[in-house]
Parts: sequence; C-alpha cells; structure tokens
Amino acid sequence: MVNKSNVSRYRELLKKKDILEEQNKFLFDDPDYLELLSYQATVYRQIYFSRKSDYCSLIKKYLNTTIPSHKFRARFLEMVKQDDEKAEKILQDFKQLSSFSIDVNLDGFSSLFGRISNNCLQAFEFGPKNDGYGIPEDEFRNSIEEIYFQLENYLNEE
Amino acid sequence: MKKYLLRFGLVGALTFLGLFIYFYKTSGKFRQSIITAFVIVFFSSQQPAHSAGEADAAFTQQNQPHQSRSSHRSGFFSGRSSNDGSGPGKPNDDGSDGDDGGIPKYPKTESIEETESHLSTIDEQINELEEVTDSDSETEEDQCQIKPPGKFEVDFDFELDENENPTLIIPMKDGSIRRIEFDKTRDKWYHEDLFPNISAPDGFDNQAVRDLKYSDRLAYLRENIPDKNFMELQNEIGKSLSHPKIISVPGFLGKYKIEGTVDINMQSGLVSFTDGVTNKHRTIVKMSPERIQKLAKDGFHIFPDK
Repeated sequence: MVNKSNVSRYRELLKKKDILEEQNKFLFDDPDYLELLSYQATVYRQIYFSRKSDYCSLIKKYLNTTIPSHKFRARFLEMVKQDDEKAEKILQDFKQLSSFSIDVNLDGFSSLFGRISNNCLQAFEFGPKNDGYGIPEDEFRNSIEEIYFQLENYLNEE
Repeated sequence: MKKYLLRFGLVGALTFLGLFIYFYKTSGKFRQSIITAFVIVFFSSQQPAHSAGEADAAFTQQNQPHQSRSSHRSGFFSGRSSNDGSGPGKPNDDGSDGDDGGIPKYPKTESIEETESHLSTIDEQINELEEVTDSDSETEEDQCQIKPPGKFEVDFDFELDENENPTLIIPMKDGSIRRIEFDKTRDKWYHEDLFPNISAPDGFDNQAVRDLKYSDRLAYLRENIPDKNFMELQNEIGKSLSHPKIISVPGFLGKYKIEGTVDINMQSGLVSFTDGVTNKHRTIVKMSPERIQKLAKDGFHIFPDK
C-alpha cells in the first residue's frame, strides 16, 4: 500500500532530484535519486501486474500461433505504452497516488515481465537479423516460451 | 622653454618607470631596481639636449615608435586588400617620383596631429574590415545551420551524404558530437509519436505501420514518407540530445557489447545510443523509470541479452 507518508516522501525525493539537477550532479550515484526511481518503478509494476491476464492471453495467442510474431510484438509494446502513460499520469497526480495500492511484492513478476518486454522491443527495433542487435525468429519464440513458462509458474504460486 | 622642460621631465619620468619595471621584473629587488633606474635616467639626462632646439630634436626621436607601429598595421592590411594609400612609416609615400636608386626614401618627420590623423584613418579601416569579416562568417554559419537545399529547415550543422541527404551534427555539453543520419532515421520514423511537434503525412497510421513485418515496415516508410518528415525527426532527436537535462553515460548496445554513449533525457525519458567509434546515433526509445532503473543496474547496457 502506498500511503500518504510515502507520497510525502515521494514529493521530497522529487525536490531533491531538482536540486541535484541544478547542481549538475550525476544522478545515478545518488541514493535519493535511486530511491525515487524505485518508487516510480513500483507504480509501473503495479499497473502492468493489474493487466497480467491480458498480457498472458496475448502471449498464449502468439505461442499457439493464433497471431504472427510481428503482430504480437507490436500489440505487446502498445499495451506497455498504454500502461506507461497511465502510470505517468498517476505519478503526476498526488491525490490519485495517495490512494494507489500495491497488492504484493512484484519483484519476481517484474523481472520476467521485463525480459519479455525487452525481447519484444529489441526484435521490433532491430528485426530478425542475427547481427548482435536483432533476434532471429526462432530464438525469439524460444525465449518467449521459456519466460512464459516461468511466469505462469510464478502466477500460479501467488 | 618651460614647455620643453615639462616634456623632458615627462619623458624622464616615463623612462625611469619603464626601467624600474624592467629591473624589478628581472631581479625581483625593489630598492636596487629603483636606484639602478634612477642612475641611468640621471646620467642620460647629462647628455646633450641643453638647448631648446636639441630638446625638440630629442622629442621628435621619441615619436619614431609610432611610425614603426603603423608600418606593422599596413602589413596586416596587405593580405586582404590592395591598400596603396600613404601613411606614416611607409617608404616612398611622399608623392615624389624621383629616381632613388632602389633605396627606400622615408617621409619627413610629421607632426603629432598628422600622425594621430593617419592612425585614426587606419583604425577606421581596420574596423570596417573587421565588420565585413564578421558579417561574412555569420552568413557562412547561417547557410551551414539552416537548411539542406530545398528541403526542411534544421537547427544544427549538417553534412550531406552521397544522396544529398543531411547528417545532422549535434554538439554535446562535453564537447563530443552525435551524428544523426538520414537513412537510419528514415527506417525508424515510426518513432515520430515520441515527439509531439512532428507532423505526420495525411492518412499515416502509426499503429498500422508498427503492426507490419520488419521488412514491410522499412519498405513502407521508405516509399511513403516525404524526405522533409525524416529531417523533421532528425531535428527533433537532435533537440532531445542537446536538451539541458541530458545525462550522458558510457554504455553498450546489443549482444556484442558495442561501446558507445547512452544519452538519457531526464525530462522525457528518451534514451539514445550512439556508437563510440563513428559517433553515429543508433537508436532512441522511451524508457519508463523501471526500465531506466534496470538499465543502470545493467551498467548502461541496452539489450544485453536475449
């Protein structure tokens, strides 16, 4: 649960970030900035988690070859984009943020979800060439299959 | 007489001061420098120049440095213009055209007022020349920064590639550059939705293009989007990279760990990678704080592994 006291800490961290930026400090070395990133990341994770059944359904469609890989990637990334916009709005609205709740510890989900999202983005951006940037289609399918298997197990244990 | 004594005193004082500074600088001894300078000035004042006429001659001698300085300035002009006007210190400028057997004939001594007049004329000419030079360089700069011929106006310097398309050169805060190529930007034009200022052609459906297969997407963008739209995106990427809230970090891209720089725009969350060897901009994506956190944990390695 993200309560009021957390929101006040969040506001404090935002102000500290502004000060650090004015001082031209390297943010990634600063514990307060890293705490701010963690705070924001928690909200994003919760938003993704709240749509887990939609994401899983889409992945299943791809693995069952109901939709082709390029459409799966585009749809998956579109859903992520929608959720990112939602999370961004919540983080800008302190009133909404104060009543925003986190269900469980989402580290495990976040790690698996992040890998699927990352693979989709990489294959989408660089295509199927095996040139160190892109991902060949068979490798892409294998990796999604493997990660989804772990994700399903994780969600069943919850 | 009184006037000449006054001038003589002034010259003496200046000479003393000059000598004192010279000796003090070389020896570092204050008292010794004063004494040495005083002795030299005192003994040199015992030389001729007892009469008003001699004093006048000595004073005229003191004006010679004016002439040599003017001569230096006329040398400055010679590279840029065919200045053949007369001036102090220039040989054969007295208007006579007699045969001098190749020996330079210097002008007769001129008055202070005449020298000052000549100097002010030269100063005016220098100012005019500097103004012309400044306006020339501004024009060149403007031409360089504004637009590829007949296309879209950009805010950065650029070079034209073999197809006459621009590669924008983005200067960064740390003095390095990012090169944003036309072809690379064209193939990723679907990123136009990251920039609210970009105008898409009528009927363009970003999501429909994203839904296409990779090769079909490239073909569609290459055939259907006007060049000016690609340049517009190049320019917007350039503006994002030169944003004051950019953090540039050494990083890597892909499975083979290509070395380069990761530029993170803290305002928009846009993250770019530029190749460290070629300075070519490779990609730009929007990252959530969660992804940025992961990126930092991975040592700023974008797409480290499958």
